[in-house]
Amino acid sequence: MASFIPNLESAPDTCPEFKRRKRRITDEKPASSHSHQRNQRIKRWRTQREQHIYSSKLIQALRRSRRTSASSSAAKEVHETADRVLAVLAKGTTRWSKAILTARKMARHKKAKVAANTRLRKPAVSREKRKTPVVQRKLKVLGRLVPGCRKLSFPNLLEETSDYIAALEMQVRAMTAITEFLAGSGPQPPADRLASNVNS
Amino acid sequence: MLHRLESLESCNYNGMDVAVLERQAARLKWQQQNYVVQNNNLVELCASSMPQFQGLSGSNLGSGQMVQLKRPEVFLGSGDFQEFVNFPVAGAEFGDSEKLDLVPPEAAADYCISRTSSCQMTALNTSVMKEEREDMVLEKMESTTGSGRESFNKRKPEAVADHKGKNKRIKGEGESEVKTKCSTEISRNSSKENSKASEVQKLDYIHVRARRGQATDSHSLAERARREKISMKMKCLQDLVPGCNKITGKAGMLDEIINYVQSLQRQVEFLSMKIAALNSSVENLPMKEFPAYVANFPAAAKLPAMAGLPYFQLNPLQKESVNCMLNESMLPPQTATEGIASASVSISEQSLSSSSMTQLQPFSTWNMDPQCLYNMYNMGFH
Repeated sequence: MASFIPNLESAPDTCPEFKRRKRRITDEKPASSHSHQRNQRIKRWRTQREQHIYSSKLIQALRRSRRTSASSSAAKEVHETADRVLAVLAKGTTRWSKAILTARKMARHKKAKVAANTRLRKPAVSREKRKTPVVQRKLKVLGRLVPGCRKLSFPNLLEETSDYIAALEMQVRAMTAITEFLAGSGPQPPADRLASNVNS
Repeated sequence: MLHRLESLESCNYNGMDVAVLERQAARLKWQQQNYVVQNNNLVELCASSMPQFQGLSGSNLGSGQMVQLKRPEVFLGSGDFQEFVNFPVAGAEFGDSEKLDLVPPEAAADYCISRTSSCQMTALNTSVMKEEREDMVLEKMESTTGSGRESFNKRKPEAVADHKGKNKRIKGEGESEVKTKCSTEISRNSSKENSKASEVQKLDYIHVRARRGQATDSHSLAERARREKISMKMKCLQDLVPGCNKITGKAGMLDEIINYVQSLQRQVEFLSMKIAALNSSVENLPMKEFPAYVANFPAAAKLPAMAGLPYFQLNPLQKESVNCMLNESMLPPQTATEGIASASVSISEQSLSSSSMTQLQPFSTWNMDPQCLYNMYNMGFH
């Protein structure tokens, strides 16, 4: 029985194409498991459980940040907190979540510098529109929208976008629930509201 | 060996084409020196997969042999097959029913499927077959997906990764899929030339299938694999982004995706502003009630009928808070989304108030599903 193995292996290996194909097989092997994991992760964002976890964590974070000194814009702070909690929930497996988590540590003036540089370069790029095909331009725009995905290849960018969209949807759902919860139980004149409710 | 070859060939040639036969003939020729036929499983399984051979078992092979011999000759006019007829028949090896048990069901299941691939009916060592199992499982995967026209590159890893778990299923589904495989093979090979067939034969063995009329060099194959990957991911995105079913083409899809991501980000920003405005009450939150509240909050999509609600009517009580938020930093294009969002919240407020209860009301009929919001946003603009 064992003697057949070398026979089998010797013949196909003589063909050079076969080697190339074999390499491709091994290269794509991890990709398949990745795709499976990816789909699982994307579906995970849609579960109720994730939303619960996210909303409770967000409320805790908001309370904590409330106690600490608030920045000039409360809304921005809430936004950043929400993004940070979302990135933490992603467990840092995706690029955008890592970018969100690390971006907070970066100094703000550094970001401003980078933004200024890109603005200076913009007119030069727009003149040579014909060099960059339509799809490429849109890919760049998309790369700028998704955090941390500026210089990503097409398929990877699409992958990140799908995960990011799923996460954003969950975030919107959770934050809506929180706002309704807050509005419903807020101390903003509940007595008055009750009175008006009874009347209406 | 010849016996098995014939029976398998006859199994496979049920409606198969000349090119396929020649391909298999060439493959068998190549393999005949290396392998020794050991197993009846192939024959038995292929037999079981074909209705006309259902009566065949290991013991019946001897009787059926002559019948099967004739059929391939009927189909095939070329001289290649004649060589098979001249092979010495190893008759003593048949009827080895014990061997049927020795081969693991996985390998057997795989053989059942590999009809048009390099029918490795001769090499029957289990460890040997493991390598070839990829071929068969890939063939199987191709027929499973039903397209049968796409390259293998994309399916290879899936097949390899999942074939362990799917082998039992493969065995059960072998019949129907073998038939579909047969039909796809026929349609694909209906007018293939011999040179193409031989090329495809090589590629088949190497797990890559080129479509008819397509180049088969490595560059185009790699490009095709890349394009397949991209299209697969675009399809996945299409499911996520609402309203993308009608749009074909990468540019339009990308436009939609960009718009959707932008709208989602704007929604998050608006909601964070709202929470900030309501944030003064965060410390007073009765946290115990929140899980129960959220538990009643369904994640199901909101009915589009909600869109018909007069969403620009604001509760006078809410108007003040909403307006001050809206005035903070609203760009005109955003007002539609924000107006809808705020209005929907206000409507929920009204539903809450209508019950006139002090406790929190579960908004079971209401959900601001971001996709529905996005649809409303689009409706407002188009």
